[in-house]
Amino acid sequence: MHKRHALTSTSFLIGLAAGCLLGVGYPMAVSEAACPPIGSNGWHANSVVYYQTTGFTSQELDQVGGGGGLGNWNFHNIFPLSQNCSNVYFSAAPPTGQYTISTNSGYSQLKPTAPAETASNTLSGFVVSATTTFYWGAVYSGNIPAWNRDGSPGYYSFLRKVTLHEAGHTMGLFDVSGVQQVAGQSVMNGYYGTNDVGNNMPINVQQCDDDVVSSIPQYASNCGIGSGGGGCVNLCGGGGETRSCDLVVIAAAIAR
Amino acid sequence: MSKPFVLGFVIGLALLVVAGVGASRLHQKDAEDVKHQAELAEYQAELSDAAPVQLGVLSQKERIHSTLYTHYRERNNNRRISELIEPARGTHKIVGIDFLIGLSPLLTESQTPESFLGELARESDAIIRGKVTNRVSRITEDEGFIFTEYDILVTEVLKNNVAARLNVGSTINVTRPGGKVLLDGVIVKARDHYFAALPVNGHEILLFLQFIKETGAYKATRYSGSFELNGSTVTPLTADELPPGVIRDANSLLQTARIVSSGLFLTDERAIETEATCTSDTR
Repeated sequence: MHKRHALTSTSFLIGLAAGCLLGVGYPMAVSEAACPPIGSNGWHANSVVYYQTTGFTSQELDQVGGGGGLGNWNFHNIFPLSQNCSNVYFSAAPPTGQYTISTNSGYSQLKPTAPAETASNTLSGFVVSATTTFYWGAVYSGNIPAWNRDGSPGYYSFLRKVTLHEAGHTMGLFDVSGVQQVAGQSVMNGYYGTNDVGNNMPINVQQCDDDVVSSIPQYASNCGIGSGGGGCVNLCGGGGETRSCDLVVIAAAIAR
Repeated sequence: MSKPFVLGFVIGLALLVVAGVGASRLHQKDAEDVKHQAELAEYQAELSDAAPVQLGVLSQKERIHSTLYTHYRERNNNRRISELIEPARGTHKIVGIDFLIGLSPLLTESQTPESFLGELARESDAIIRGKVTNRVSRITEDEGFIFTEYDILVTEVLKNNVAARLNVGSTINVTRPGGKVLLDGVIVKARDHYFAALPVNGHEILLFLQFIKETGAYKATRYSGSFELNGSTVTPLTADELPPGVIRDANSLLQTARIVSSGLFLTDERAIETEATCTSDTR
């Protein structure tokens, strides 16, 4: 009995130490050159963002909504197994209209090369509503189409990537500068070729993106970094972020 | 276990809970007070240069310029500024509208300044160097966005407008999307990240412009055709990236702009064609 108890406590302590070690490594990850800069405060921490989509087929919607780009952001955002400190959840449930994702058969008059763009409205610096428009007629390098809506895996993958990028703007991220981009390292990278055939954009939110989201002050304080926030981080002695908190929670659960 | 002990234990526990809740509320109130103070300070700081406006009150010229910006409301899910300020009324909060840079292709090929500025020059009615002397922001007639009317003192004319000649020392009017207004006590800041605000810090600017015949004013030829000059430093007045190789320093930018404006420069393609013709002629 005593032996089992000691083993359980040891597992817990090991998990705790692992979490704290990851927490110590966190600031270094943020300073990586290929990570996106902070663009805004993003949505309020711990909020549910109700979205609606128009103009997509059901297969396309699979890549945009809860099973695609927005779902991947949810996977990274939501406590307790989150990868960042935002706890922002994108929901298709009513009431809709806070975040609208729509389509346009033409191209952006200002920037014909943009396959999508986003407008956001803020109150006291926090995003309260946003609109993303997909431009099917976008062209680059003169007249090469940015989209090839051929129903191929590459096309559906690009839909997911573009959603990750545009929703990333609403999460507070800005574009990674062209010269600093490392292929696949951030959802805020630009595209390379039609349907991003060069795979410059990743199909999932990357650690780089999570780290920058977690460094936005309101999200950071949600993890106990700076003023206010949760108590999880105190277990590690005052420094760290969600990932370390999560590992502590998981370690504690396993130990139990 | 004695009854007094149980009673004392229960009371002690209850006191602990009450104290805990009280402390938590106090902490929460303190945090809210700090947040409110910070918001108020930001509001006061932004207030000084926010143009007081009333919906629908525009001059004839502003009304015409307002039509240049009708696409913004559609791109923002038809939201009106009057709707956006509703939750902010009487709270000293700031409402923001941001049109972000669209997803970009990875720019790998560099472009020469001559080629980039040459294209801009061909599309422009006028190219000037100057300084902002005044600005006023207005809400568009459809309430979808804000635009700003700038007065610019011309210090150099690189390409003159054939329809209305410009002189050094004259003042021109330039309309541009974005700006800051005060509407019913609410500060509204609108930004199109393609078009940074023109600097009012006394720095010179280089502008590639198109003429608006109806009003005699000007608008940007492209979002990438406005630059702030500060000594030898040049800053493109856009958040979008220009092709690699285009921007070096203020002197070379001005020099190239003067060359392309004078029409002496041939584009790369035409230069190559000319070279090919010469080569074949020689043969």
